[in-house]
Amino acid sequence: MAPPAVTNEGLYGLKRGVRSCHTSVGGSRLSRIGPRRLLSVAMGLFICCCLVGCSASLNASPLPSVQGPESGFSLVVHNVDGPPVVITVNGKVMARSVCLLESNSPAPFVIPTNDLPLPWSVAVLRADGSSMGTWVEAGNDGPRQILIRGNVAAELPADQPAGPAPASCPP
Amino acid sequence: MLTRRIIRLIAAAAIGSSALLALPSLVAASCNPHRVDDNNYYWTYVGQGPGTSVGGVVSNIWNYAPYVPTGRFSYSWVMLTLNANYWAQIGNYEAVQGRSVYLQYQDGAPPAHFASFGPQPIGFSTYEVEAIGGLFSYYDAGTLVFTHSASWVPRVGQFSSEIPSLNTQMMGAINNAVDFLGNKMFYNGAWHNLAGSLTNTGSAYFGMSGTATSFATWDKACSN
Repeated sequence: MAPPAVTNEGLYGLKRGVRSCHTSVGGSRLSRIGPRRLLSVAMGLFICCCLVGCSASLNASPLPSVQGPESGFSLVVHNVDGPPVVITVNGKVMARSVCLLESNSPAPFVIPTNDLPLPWSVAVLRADGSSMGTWVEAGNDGPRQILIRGNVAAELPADQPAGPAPASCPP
Repeated sequence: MLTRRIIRLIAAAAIGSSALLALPSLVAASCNPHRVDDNNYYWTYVGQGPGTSVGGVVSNIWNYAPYVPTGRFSYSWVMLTLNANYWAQIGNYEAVQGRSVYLQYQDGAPPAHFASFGPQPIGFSTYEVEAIGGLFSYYDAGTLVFTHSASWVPRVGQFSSEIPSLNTQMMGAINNAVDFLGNKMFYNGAWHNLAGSLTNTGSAYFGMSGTATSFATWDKACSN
């Protein structure tokens, strides 16, 4: 499932809120307020810190913005027992994948972004450059997968099973 | 003094919330392994190809109810197969919608066919697939639940638990393992004890012990 789009407007809104919090906690006022007021101020400070933390983390790792109508689309590559391959999207190398028995890495997972808009022309290429298959992804069919079993690659809905357990990777 | 009161309040809230979070794991078998979503399949299995056609597989499997996040599944199954495109399986299945007995088969190129039935109770039940004269028959606790015809002939049997990502609990837990007991395959006109080695494609995360005829699998992140 593609993550929701993060708009700049939302982040700026958070920042405005944080700024107003800071101005309400003036140092000179602290000496004149009672314990209950101090408790309220402490809680306010805690909430402000949380907001600052959220805002900072969102700024630090912005999520890719996903196109509206195709937002349910994604492509994952399950190389169960196939040869090492390169996955290209619209001619650009997006990922490399080896037989999962020899991999400690997550399976390649790609979603559309503004830099990589749909439709996609997807190709799976062996190390020698020969093709295991090419497909066009319009993004209208929900999450998809490329399942590689042995020397065969198939493009399928993401919820299709992988089949038998793999005995070994190809030589 | 006020500071101490605030600290006590925060501590009480923290203890209360962790107690609430801990409660479900005490009363339910499933547990969230809290691992990353890596989109990789994992199997704990035994497979055997006796060098001739195989007419059946049967196992008495402990039905467990694992933790499964949305869009994922976890299952334990027996399977007849020829290769990655030809296979027929039945077993215990858990998805976010609930647990069930399921069967899947594929006769050539994908997609696979799928059917599900009401779950067997937590405990042991038998799962069996037979292939005789091109007729594939699926048995759930001894009852025939589905048949179909196919032209391929199985040559391998597999007995396995499986998940499609690390964020899903493999069937079983440290103190509540999923047992595959009495594992047998039919070939050369008779039922034979399963032979073969135990294979665990994620041994850092999943446990496996026993022999081919009687083995157990579990998720190392879960105690019950």
